[in-house]
Parts: sequence; C-alpha cells; structure tokens
Amino acid sequence: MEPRVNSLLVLGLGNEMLKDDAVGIRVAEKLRGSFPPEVEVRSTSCFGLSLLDELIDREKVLVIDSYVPQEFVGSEIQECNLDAVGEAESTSPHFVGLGEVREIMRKLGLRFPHEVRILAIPVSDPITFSYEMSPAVTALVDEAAARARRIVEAWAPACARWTT
Amino acid sequence: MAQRITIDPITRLEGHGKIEIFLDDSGKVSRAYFMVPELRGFEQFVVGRPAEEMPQITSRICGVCPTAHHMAATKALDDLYKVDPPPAAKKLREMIYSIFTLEDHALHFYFLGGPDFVVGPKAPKAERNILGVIGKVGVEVGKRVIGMRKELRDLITLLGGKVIHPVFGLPGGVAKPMSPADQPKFVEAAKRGVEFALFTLSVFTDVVLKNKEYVDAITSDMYTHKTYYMGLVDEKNRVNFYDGRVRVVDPTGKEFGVFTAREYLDAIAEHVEPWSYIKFPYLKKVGWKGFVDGADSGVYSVAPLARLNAADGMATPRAQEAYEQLYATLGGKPVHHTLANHWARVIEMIYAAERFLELASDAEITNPIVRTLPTNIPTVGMGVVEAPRGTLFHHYETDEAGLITKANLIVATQNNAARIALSVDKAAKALINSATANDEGALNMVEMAFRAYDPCHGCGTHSLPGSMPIRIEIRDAAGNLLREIRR
Repeated sequence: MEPRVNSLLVLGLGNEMLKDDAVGIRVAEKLRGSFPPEVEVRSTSCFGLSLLDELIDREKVLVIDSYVPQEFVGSEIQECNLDAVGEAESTSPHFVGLGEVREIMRKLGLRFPHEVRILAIPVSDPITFSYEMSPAVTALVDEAAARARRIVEAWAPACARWTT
Repeated sequence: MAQRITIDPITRLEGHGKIEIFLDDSGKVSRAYFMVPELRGFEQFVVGRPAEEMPQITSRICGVCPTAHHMAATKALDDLYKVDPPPAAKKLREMIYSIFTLEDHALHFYFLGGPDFVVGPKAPKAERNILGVIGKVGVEVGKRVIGMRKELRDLITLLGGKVIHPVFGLPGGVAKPMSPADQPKFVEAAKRGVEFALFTLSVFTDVVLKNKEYVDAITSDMYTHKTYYMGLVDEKNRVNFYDGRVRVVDPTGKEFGVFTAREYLDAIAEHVEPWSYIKFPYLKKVGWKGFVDGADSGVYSVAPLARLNAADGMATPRAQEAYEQLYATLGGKPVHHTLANHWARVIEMIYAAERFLELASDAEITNPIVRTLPTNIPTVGMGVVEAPRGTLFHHYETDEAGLITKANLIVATQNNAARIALSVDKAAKALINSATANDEGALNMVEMAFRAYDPCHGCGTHSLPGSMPIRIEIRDAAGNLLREIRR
C-alpha cells in the first residue's frame, strides 16, 4: 500500500473530560492550521488497538500525551522515541499502548511509521471529571506546542514557512 | 495471628485496578481483594449539563467500548422525553450495536482470551500477550481479525460520523438514515461477519476444547462460583444486546425475577466496603451476605456467560446451535465456570453477526423516517443495554429545561464487582502462598480469574506509558509488602 498523502501525523491523545488528561488534545488544537497538507494534525480519545488506525501507513508520527510524574512540581516536558516507552506486555485490549501496537503491526506485516516521537507533558490529575485542566498544566500548552512545531519542522523543513 | 488490614479508601488508585493479597502466619492466603476504581466525581460533573449531551459525554468515559455508553444514554433519553423512536431507527440502533459487539468480542477473544488459552496460562510471560496469540494462530488469522475489525468500524463511521464517539443516537431516533445505496455494503459485511464468527468458533474448538488441560482449567473448582445471573432478554427470553427486560436466574437456573430499566432500583442495591472505592451491587430481595456465592447470597454476575445462563436461548440459528453445544458439553444449565465466559463470548459473536445480517437485510431499515421529535417535558429517564462486559444502566433526572440534576450509572464491571472479588479471592487461595508468591505462572492464573470478566477501568487515562494499570501486592501477616507487580 502506498504511504498516505498526509504522511506526517501530529496526534494529540487524551480525554477532554478527565481534567489534565485533555492536555494532548489541547496542544493539538493549538497546532491545527499550522502546517502544510502533508502534515495532518489530529486528536483522539481512543486508545488500545484503535491507535493502529491512526498510525498505519504514516511515515512519521508525533504523539502528544500526558504523563504522571512522581512529583509534579519541577517536572518538565519530555521528548523521547517510542523505544523509551517500554516493552509490549499488555494482555488486555483496554490497555494496549503504542509499544504493543508497533509489535502487532510488525508481526502482521503492516506498515508502521519509520519514526514515532513522543512529547510527554507532566500532569497532576488525569482522572477527575472536569473540562478544565489544572492552571499549571494549562500553562504548559504553549511551550508544548512550540516544541511540537520544532519537531515537525525538523522532519519537513518546508513546514517552517507555515508555522505561526 | 493473621492481621486485618484496612486500606484507607481515600488512597488514590491513580486510575489503576489493584489486587491485594494477604498471607496469614502459615504463609497461606487469608484474603485477596480486587479493587476497581470508580468513576470519581462523574455524577457531579454532569449536573447542570443538557441531558441531550449525555450520549456524547458518557461515550467518553471509556475509550474501548464507547458505543455501549452512547446507546444506554440514548435509550435513557428516549425514556426521559417519553418518546418512541420509529421502527427504522430502532433497527439502525440495534444493527450498529450488533456491529460494535461483534467487533469488541472479536478483539477480546483474539487479544485477551488468547493469552490464557491459545498461548497457555503457564507460558513464559514474554509470550503471554497479544503478540503470542498472533504467533500461535498465525499471521493470516491476525490480519483477518484486524481487517474484519476495520471493516466493521468503517461501517459504524458511515452511519455515526466517527467510530469512537459516534454522533448517532438522539432522543427519539438516530441522526442519519441508511441510504438504499449503502445497504448492500452492510449486507455483504454482515455475511463476512457470520463467516468470521463461525471461524472463530472453530479456532476455539480446535485450540481450547480439544486441549484437555484447558478444559480442565475451565471446569476446575478454582474458577467456579454458583451465583445468580443477569442479562437482557427479548419477549421470548432470548439474549438481546439492545433491548428487552432484565432477567435474573438463580444458581439452579430458575427464573428469579424480571424487571425493566425503570425498575432497576427496586432490584439492585449497593454494598459498601471500607477497602474499596467501588460499591458492590447485589440483589435486594436476597440481600447482602458477604463475598460468598450460593442461593442465599445476593451476589450476581453479568457478561457473556451470565447472559446465556439468564436466557432460554439465542434468537438466531447458528448461535442457538453453539449455545446448545456449550451446555451439552458443560453439563447443562446454568454453567458456573467463570472461564466459560470466553466460550460464551464466541457464541455471542455468532449471534451479533447473524443479527447484523438480519437487520441489514431488512427492507424497513432504509426508511428515511428515523426520528420522532420529543415534545414532552423531561423528568426521569432510565436506559439499559448489554455492554460487551455486561448489563449497563444509565439513569438521569432533569429539571423542566432538560438540564441534569442527578445521574447514576451502573457499569458492567460494577455489576460484576462482587463476583470478580470472589473469583480473585478463590483463585489466590488455591494458588498463592509464601512459596509461590514469586511464581509468574501462579500469579497469571490468579489474573485469569478476573481477566475472564475483562474488567473495564472506565476512568483509565491516556497517561504514558499506556500499559495495563493493574497493581498486585502480596503482603505477609504483619502487612509488610512482600512483592509488588505492576502489569
């Protein structure tokens, strides 16, 4: 199968109803309209194997997500490649993560992106029902968006002409 | 002397489930607890919101089975506004729901049940996962599962706009009719779905039922509880995922009661334990007698096996054949073996696919009239569906403007909470002691006890690393932590 036309994907993961878990989606919203057509910006609340639908036939993917550090105060936005997330070991479709999706796609001979970069934003409360994020997490959205733009610009220098 | 340890219920579970195993002075398990995090603060969160948003709001509770909440919410809105959808709308809803159930069950069987049966409960940890299943059943079967899944999800998108949070159910109907031009797509996909479901039964038969070790595991006392069973049935007491009455049978299989969604509060009460966030539903008329099974205990079960036990049969022919075979093999109704949920799930795949085909082929389903506009003042609405993991209740109360004043959800995993707790406790007592606390195979077999229910941690978040948020703690008689395992 041919790669997609929009072969670069920026994917915000999160749940808008679960307070700080919305941050990936909020950053993706900020990035929408920033890039040329070959870069698609999407957000999703799905997880598990549904991530496969997002990743298949992409060249490169930037995933924007939250993480819960031991101590929120002083924690920073992290960048890593998928290899740093950990080995695939889930036994439940509910909790299949990116690592598992990669292994499944490889095992099935499906086209997995050449590069998956993760931008992880520290959060303090991803489980309370609320449409409002914590102020401290809201304050990280601009910085996360700026870092996401730099990552995408490094992948596709033409994007630099478009970003705001 | 064994110590009793009370776990502070304020302790944050951080969206994780937790199994806590306590050993007594002799190193044997005195008690094991399975704790499921509740939907903390949900009821307060929705107060003041328009009830019509609930199908969208509640579908975001769970990223794996959003369609179940969407449908339960939609039906609760029908009741809230006292509006009856037109026939085409009901058929579209049930068809979409059958598609969703088929896809979800397939995913569970190949990627969850697989590690326990297809790969083997004592296989090395590195193989005992979804990748091990693909390795065992073969790449072509794995591709077929993924391909079938994509096809089914594309069909849901066709009618619902998107598959994960569909814009589909409305009070009094659905958002979009099916065009006659699209109908053949659904029919052809349904036929492939039936073939695939029957193929899955053959996989289960070949890999599980022909393996004596697995059959022994299914029928072992360790994974057996004699409880009440609950499920939605149609007018002929056959399994129905979308509509009907809730039927309960006792541990001998005799009908104990039948109730509508509106009557759920008369049938079910909730018990509280100091060591868990979650409340434990039980049958009111029997009463709470503790974490015990039997006819005198109000503990009941939901999910595929419970549905088959609570019904008198399946409404489609191939599913009925498979249903009869299950009971003939396992000694008649009801079956109390928790691991038989995996078999029941496959039978339900067949029913979901056959029902999908029936509805897709129905001439009435392309009728363009798909909504009855609500005109009544809203007050109280209750809806019930069978989520893949069991009976799901949604209950809303509103003011005259339709703004939520109160909401209550009893999700499938809550309905099963007491029985899951029983299963984990029993398996832990049979398998774990101070000598086996580090035995991966033994611990996995304890996990099998709750994995058969596929508990859905609805408040699971996306926060990295995205692995299964279950924590298992084994403590000695003094409460000291001997071992902690994070899955």
